[in-house]
Amino acid sequence: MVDWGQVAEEFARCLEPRRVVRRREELLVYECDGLTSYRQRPALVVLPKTTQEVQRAIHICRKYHIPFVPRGAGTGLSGGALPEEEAVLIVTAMMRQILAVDVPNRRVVVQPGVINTWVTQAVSGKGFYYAPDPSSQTVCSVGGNVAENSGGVHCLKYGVTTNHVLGLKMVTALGEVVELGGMVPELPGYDLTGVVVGSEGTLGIVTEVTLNILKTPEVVQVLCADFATVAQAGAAVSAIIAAGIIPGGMEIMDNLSINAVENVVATGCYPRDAGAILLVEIDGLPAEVAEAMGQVQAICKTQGARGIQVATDPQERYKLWQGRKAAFAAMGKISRDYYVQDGVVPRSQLPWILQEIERLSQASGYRIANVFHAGDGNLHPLILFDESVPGALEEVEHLGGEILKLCIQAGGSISGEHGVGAEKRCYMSDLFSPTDLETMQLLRRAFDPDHLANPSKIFPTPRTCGERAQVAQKFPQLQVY
Amino acid sequence: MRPETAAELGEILRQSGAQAVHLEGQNSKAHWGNQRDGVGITISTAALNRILNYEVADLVVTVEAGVKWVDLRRVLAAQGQFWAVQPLYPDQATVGGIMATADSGAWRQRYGGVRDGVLGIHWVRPDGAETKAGGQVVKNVAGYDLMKLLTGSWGTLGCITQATLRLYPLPPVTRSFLIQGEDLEQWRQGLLDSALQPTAWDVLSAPLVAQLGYPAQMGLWLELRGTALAVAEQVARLPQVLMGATVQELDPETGEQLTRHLSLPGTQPQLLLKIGVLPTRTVALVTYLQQIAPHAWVQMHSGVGVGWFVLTPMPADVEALVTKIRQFVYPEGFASVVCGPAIPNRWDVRGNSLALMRRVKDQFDPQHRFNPGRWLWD
Ligand SMILES: Cc1cc2nc3c(=O)[nH]c(=O)nc-3n(C[C@H](O)[C@H](O)[C@H](O)COP(=O)(O)OP(=O)(O)OC[C@H]3O[C@@H](n4cnc5c(N)ncnc54)[C@H](O)[C@@H]3O)c2cc1C
Repeated sequence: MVDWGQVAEEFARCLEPRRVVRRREELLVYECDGLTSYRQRPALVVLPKTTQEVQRAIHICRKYHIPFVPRGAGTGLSGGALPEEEAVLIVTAMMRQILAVDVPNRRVVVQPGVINTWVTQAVSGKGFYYAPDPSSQTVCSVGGNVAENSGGVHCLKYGVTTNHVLGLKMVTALGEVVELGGMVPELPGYDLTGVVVGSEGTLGIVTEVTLNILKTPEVVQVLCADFATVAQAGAAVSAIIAAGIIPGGMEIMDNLSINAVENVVATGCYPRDAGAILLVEIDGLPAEVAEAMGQVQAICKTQGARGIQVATDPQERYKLWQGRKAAFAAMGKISRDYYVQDGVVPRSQLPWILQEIERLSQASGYRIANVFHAGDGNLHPLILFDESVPGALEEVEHLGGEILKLCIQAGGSISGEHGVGAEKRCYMSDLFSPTDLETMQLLRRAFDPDHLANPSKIFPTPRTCGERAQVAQKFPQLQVY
Repeated sequence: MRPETAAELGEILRQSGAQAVHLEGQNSKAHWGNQRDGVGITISTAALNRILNYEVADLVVTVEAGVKWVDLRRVLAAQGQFWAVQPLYPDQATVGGIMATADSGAWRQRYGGVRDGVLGIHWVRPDGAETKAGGQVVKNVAGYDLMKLLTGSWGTLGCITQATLRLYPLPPVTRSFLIQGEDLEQWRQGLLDSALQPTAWDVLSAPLVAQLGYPAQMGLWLELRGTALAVAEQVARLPQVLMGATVQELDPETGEQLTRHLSLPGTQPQLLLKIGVLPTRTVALVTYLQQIAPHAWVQMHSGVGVGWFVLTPMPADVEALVTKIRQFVYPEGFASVVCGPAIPNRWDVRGNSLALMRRVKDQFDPQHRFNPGRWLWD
């Protein structure tokens, strides 16, 4: 048994005492991340400010053989920052400095707790921006983005987080500080930057991130087309891709989402009777954008669009995007609870998977809203339910699992951007063979031989995955989590 | 040995005990890295040369590692698509070899490097087990991104057998220009700060410019690709951005011509360095290289700060030359001796992560069977 009093004292000696949290009421906010149906109070929370302090914290964990869970802003949707009962939560909320801005070389170096939008704010005056823009960008941290390899609505053309991270400083689970990558790409040696991005805090704690920034495009236009059915909108996406056009982003919202957004954000720009709307953003030089926009409009019409609006000035564009970015929040207003999935299918399979989701919705009786990164084939079905109804959460999780299995069947994946976390690890075996999972452990052992970094995430264990299935069968009324 | 399937390859590895394994594709880069001592078995991916699945509408292709870049390009071009890498030895280089050495080329600043376009990978581990990571879709975060680990790993972690690649629509128009004059750095930065979106924007040393048939003076090579309208729109803005420069239009195939010039046959003694430097120092670097190695062919991708240096015949004191270059490109940059004598620290791993890299190697290949001695490890 760990003597938590003694451990807390030791942390208090290496950090300021007020940055070591032990009181029950203060621990409450750290019980869960954005996936609120999974909760666990951590034994202890610490808030380091520097790489050195992170290193000392990890040394203490090593000394007592205590696992640690990294946490950024806690907006993750797969339970990646879900604490463990006998673990320390290491939170980067006080590591919020922008360390260097080098515009001529297009580099920004930040601490991991820096909020995503701050990066763009730091360089927008000079005509630059940081491309990956998760909808949570005003609240989520760069460290969390790195750990999840987060995407956003503009990742179709410019790529996700990993394509914009040049270097990292981190403290591995062995307690060593390493610099990976740097200011220049393709540094000799293994591309460890590339493997740490997306590793969900299971290799150590990232303490500095070198990001690549892009020039703000001269012209940006957003098209909003409304269709009678989601299938038509999906077919338009496939046709746009097949025509060789790469928009900055391509997003679809279905009727349920449109109405939720119109109820809550009241943008007044999405027709409430549309089966789906498709948002397409094109950027570049004026003639280039006009040409591509013309083609996209023609394709949408051919695919049966009922109406098309094009926004050119920033305010109109903002208005069109606002509803999309607020979609998850709006869903929270029309349903007591919602459960988001994050599957991926090849873009050509979009119409098929959407039909299948509709079928599952009808068969199960749960309403499912679809808001998604259509250009990437990345679905976000939101299953609406009421968690206070006994057994509802299990049913909804099961339904989510069915959707993931369909994604796998279509040649896709169980996560496009939210990560596997605590939530989806039991589906990893549907995607990867035991050998594949064992190979991933080889990498992990090089960083974390003692299994201390976020140990119960990403990978299935026979105990948890087996046990959970059994409990659910034996005691259908029981809350498993 | 030329296995035709991953299973056969696994069998060979299991049957050959602890013997050293040397990997090759079409052998275009046989002269790269430290030279093998001859002991052990050689495995070629030449017979793993099928295009397994081409999802045209999805801009995704799955190929075996031995597929040659030229062959893949032809198949993709027939559908109006391309894989955005421009490797050396374009006629022989295989997908596996390009991945193993992360040979991205001039399009990197626009489309990303090899690492950015690999969506999924299959490989055979040194113990003979077949394994994979990633998948067939353009967005995927399930499990570790081992595609990035294998890309640029020089065959030291396993033998890549297949890869799924992200493709792009082939732009209908390509135009190429040579920019020469006094203010190269100003033009270089000016163009990057403008709204133009070049697909290539490289600093070329005078001898390399001469190879293209132009006055032997350092220059910038600009490539613009897109629809006719989009390219014309950018070309119309050039005078504004490149004030005072001499601008000459080149053959649209210049990008490939450059890689062909740099791809000297391996039989010829040559020094081939891969150099990295801050983008803002690329013009200054090439100016300096022209002083210390006046005959060198240098192509630096100025948007990202990475490029090639080729010198033939082999200079007498490679170590002294490389030391000078490193003094210039440090602290951010590097200079790796990709082809040339085995000077100490030839690869120039920067930072403090070598010990961690060694632990990765030891985990994946505990007996150090794969490409022993050729790269960072015994
Ligand atoms: C309304 C809403 C909308 C969202 N929209 C999107 C979207 O469009 N696209 C998208 O991709 N995601 C989206 N998300 C998910 C979430 O915002 C992202 O995953 C985000 O990157 C998480 O950042 P965070 O700082 O909150 O990380 P946390 O939730 O605190 O942590 C996430 C993971 O990162 C690890 N971690 C955090 N910091 C570090 C560090 N410094 N070193 C190592 N590991 C670390 C944690 O252990 C955990 O595994 C959304 C979430 C919400 C609530």
